Amino acid sequence: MLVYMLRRVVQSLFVIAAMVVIVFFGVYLIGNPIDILISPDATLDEIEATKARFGFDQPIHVQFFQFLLQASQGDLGRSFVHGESAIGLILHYMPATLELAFLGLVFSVLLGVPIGIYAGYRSQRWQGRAIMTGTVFGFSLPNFWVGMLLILIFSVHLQWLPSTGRADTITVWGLQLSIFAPGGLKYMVLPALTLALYKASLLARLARAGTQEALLQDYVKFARAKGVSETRILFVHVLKNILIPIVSVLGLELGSMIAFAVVTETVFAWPGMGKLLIESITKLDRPVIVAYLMLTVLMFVTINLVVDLLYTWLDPRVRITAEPT
Amino acid sequence: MMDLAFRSLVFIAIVILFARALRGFEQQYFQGITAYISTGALGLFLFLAIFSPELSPQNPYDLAQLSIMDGRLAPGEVSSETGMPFYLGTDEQGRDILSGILYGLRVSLTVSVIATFFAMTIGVVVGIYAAWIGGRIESILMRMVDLQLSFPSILVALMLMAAFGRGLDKVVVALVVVQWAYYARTVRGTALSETQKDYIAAARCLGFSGARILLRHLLPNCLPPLLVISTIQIANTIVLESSLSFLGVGVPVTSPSLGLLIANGYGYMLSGQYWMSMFPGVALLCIVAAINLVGDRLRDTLNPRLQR
Repeated sequence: MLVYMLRRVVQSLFVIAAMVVIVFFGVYLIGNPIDILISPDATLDEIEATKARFGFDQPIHVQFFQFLLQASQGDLGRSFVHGESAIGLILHYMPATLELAFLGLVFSVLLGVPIGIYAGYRSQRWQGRAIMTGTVFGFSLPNFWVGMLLILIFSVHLQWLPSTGRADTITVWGLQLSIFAPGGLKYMVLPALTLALYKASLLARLARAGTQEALLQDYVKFARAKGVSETRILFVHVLKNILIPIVSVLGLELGSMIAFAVVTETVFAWPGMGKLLIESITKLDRPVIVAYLMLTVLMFVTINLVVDLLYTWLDPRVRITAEPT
Repeated sequence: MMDLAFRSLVFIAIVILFARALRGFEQQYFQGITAYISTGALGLFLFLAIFSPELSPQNPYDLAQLSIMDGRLAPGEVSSETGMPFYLGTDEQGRDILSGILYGLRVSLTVSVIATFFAMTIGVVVGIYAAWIGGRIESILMRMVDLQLSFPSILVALMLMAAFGRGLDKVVVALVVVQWAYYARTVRGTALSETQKDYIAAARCLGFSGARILLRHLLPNCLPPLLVISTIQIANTIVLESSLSFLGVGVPVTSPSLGLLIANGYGYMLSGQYWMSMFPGVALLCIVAAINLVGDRLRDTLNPRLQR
């Protein structure tokens, strides 16, 4: 077990190292940030001075080692546009994305699981079939288009909810969050719903499959024989049993929520790190792009590592097949 | 004319291939009204995309045909100069939205189909090779697949597009990189279970070369599950491409896909001029849903064949 864990950790470190190299040289290929930093009528001397100030006059491998040296001290450079430390900038925008992804996840569970259980319960009837077709639409709908539609309906026509932006934040546990602020939820409903729809469809399918299987089990027959109501069977007995696969999927889905938030944040002008990334890409703000990518890589590798180790801990079969190679 | 003849051939070839794949399974496939509607819709969309130059009222990228006077007309209004009706309205440059959608459909479908084809080819080669060779090479290849799949596709694609810049070919490359791992994993799984079967042992006993067994015996038997995932992957690719284009890192403005059309019209949405991004969105939704529903039917239909 210890050997497996160690090997898994070393593997993750290797992945991070590989990604550092790929990201740095990949981002280096994106245009020349100098063109944006200085005015078009700058003299040659001014261009050279700016280049030297940002270290662009060095050969690329020197720049890379400088980057490594600074990165090991937790410094991924300064944003060309904002003039702040790139890491600090990302960390500043991160809570907005995290609270959005979290609420999206909550919505997707609240929507997807009950619908899926019902579809499994009625799987042979028209209701079940209709829900299944509906879920196909759910994950066919492009994220950004759903967002636009929701804005059109709820903001432009009905004027129930604000279309874009984020409420003023309050500090909770040292984080700048808007979810607990007065009126904060109002701003979050539409983007979180947009983010949730795709996952809700997937969860509904998962829950449906689980429910269909669970309904055939003896404990359901027994509960029915005992005279337990169908609602109680579904939402107590069946639900408990299908939660295991759902919960294990959710861990990984939080990561992909954060990634997909890039699109949703752009639609809703939500000041999260996804929007920051897109803006940095259009403005060729290299340090911010690199910092975003490094942080997400780190986040994903950590999530995957934790999930893997939890699996091995929970399910001995994985451990046995993973050991001899 | 050559071009038109070629495109007609492509369309006929797709229909024939689809019919052949279903041969003997029509009964199982055409169950319920959804199967008919989605298959019909998919056929229609393919037709529209392939023959868009002939079908669309104007060439939306020929600036000579556009008039700025017709800018942002609501659906149903007519051109002030030519009297041509705009059934779905126009965009800010006086471009007919209907024509834009037909051409955009073409770009979206072409990009996704080409990307899916290359991704599938790479995935099949890697997957079958890994399953066949085994040992250290297999585990290295599969670690690469795991690594690739552990990152969400949109993030990887975004990263690549950020590095490459905009362009049709670059979008295709990014989409291939994002997808190949799915195919590799699926093919390896199928190939592993297929190599255990008697016909492979029989082929080995007959002294056939490894290459012959791989290509003539193993490969054909790994294809049916691929048909299903490639259908669904084409739909995913269309959505992914449109998301990239919406974010402004996808296809170039000179050949807009549906996603870019939606992005262009987005600014006017809040002022009530919904048609510029609404109709391309409806088209996008319909084609992706049609492909997914067809994929769903195909999976249900072809599964018994896999278990046989």
